[in-house]
Amino acid sequence: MNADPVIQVTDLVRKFGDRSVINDISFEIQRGETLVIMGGSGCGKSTLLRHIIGSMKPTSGSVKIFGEEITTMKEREIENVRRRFGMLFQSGALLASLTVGENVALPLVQHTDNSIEEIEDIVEQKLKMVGLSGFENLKPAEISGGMKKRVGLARALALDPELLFSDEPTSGLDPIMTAVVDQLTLKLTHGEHMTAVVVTHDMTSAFRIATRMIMLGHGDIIAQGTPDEIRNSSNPEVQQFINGEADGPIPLNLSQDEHEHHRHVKPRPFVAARSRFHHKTG
Amino acid sequence: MKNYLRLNLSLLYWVFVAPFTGKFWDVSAIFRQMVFIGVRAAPMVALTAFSIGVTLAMQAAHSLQQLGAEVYVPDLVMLSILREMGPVLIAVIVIGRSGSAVAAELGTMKVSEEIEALEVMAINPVQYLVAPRFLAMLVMLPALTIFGNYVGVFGGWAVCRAALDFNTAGYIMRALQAADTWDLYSGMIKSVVFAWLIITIACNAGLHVEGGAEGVGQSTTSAVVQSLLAMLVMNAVLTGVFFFAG
Repeated sequence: MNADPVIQVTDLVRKFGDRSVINDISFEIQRGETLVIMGGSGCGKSTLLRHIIGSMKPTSGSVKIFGEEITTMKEREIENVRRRFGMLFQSGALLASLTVGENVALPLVQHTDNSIEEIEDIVEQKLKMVGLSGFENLKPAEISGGMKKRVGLARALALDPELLFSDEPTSGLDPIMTAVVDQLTLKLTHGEHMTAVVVTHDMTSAFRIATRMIMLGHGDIIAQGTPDEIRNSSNPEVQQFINGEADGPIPLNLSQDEHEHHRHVKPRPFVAARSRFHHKTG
Repeated sequence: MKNYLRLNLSLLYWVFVAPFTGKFWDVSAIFRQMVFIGVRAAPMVALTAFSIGVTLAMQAAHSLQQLGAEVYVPDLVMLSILREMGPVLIAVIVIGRSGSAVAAELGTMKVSEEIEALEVMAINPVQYLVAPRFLAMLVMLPALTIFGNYVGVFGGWAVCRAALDFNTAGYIMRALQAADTWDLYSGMIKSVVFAWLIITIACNAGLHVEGGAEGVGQSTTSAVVQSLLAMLVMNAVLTGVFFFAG
């Protein structure tokens, strides 16, 4: 194991107004590790991920990727770091105007000098890895949500990144495909020493792939450790979350204020009321 | 406004500086946008320009006949179209058709996380999305304007030929005598400036959409309104500049 951590987050604080969404978080990820970040909706997972990839700037604290401080970098320097990692978005975030094949080829076309034939080979190979051979010529609108996510994964892996960020990689996939994606993550982290940071709600998948887990709540790290340590944690919030119980210390609803703050929009009573309704029913 | 200026600076870099650092324009993307912004708009532009040419000639004929000066109808059609009507009306068509489409397209990409995905893939959205549209617009709006000028003058000819005592050669001769090259150039300068305004306002609106489908609708509307206003004010400014300088 390499002594230098791939990601080093130190005393990270992010405030919106005077409310802190991320409250003094510190952790490190070593090469080859798979870190799973868990936590209820609105606990700051996505905000944390956006700070690590450099698309949001913290109020204070530091984030180092590959030993380089990303919080003070200019946009152009961040681009150099970003070429070394891949990211799978929750929705897949495929470009709707391009075909599946063109989407996977996009990072290769933009960042490498490979010939068209070489790029086609890589695209075919990456799509095969996620079980989507032969889908090159379809548009994202013509495939299902789960397929989009797998194409997003193929695209994130196109440049053989050293580091992979996944935002809910298995939501919307059937159990078999979930297992396929998990095995792919395991193969890449074990075989090729890729480092993975996975944000997920899917506990089966989380315990299958994680080498370390962090649970967030209200912007703080509630618990962290190996999957076994988390499983045997005495913290009631952790137990409630991993067992998926409705009753427990984690509050069922966010307040309107907290919810709207998380969405970064001005409070609008009807939207908040509607989303509270969804929290209760959904 | 700050966003708009930042977009313009970034655009200047990607269009004029980056090609010299080895990141050349994506020519195929530029051509695709040229087809969308320019070629597909040609029928609408033709119809508009023809109607304007016909209207101008009839209005001119009506007034000038009272002075017995209908010989000046081609002059009036030619000069109005080259200097004002051509650039302005064709810009209006392009705002309604392409400006709104660009704002809506980029706005949809923004709300569906596509723009963020590009950034995370270290692909600059200004380079990848805005620069090709900008270059395509900068070429195609003046091209459409030249095309529209022709069709408009043709509309004027149709009226002169059918209703007034002109033969084709006479109409062409008068029209060409009336205008000098500066009339054409001033219209072209206007249409290049309009192209710049239209596409940067549309892209800026699209890239800064917030709040889902509703946000896309709002920023598309504001892109159209803002570019219409900016274009008309700029037209007055440029006409003033040409008037006092020339």
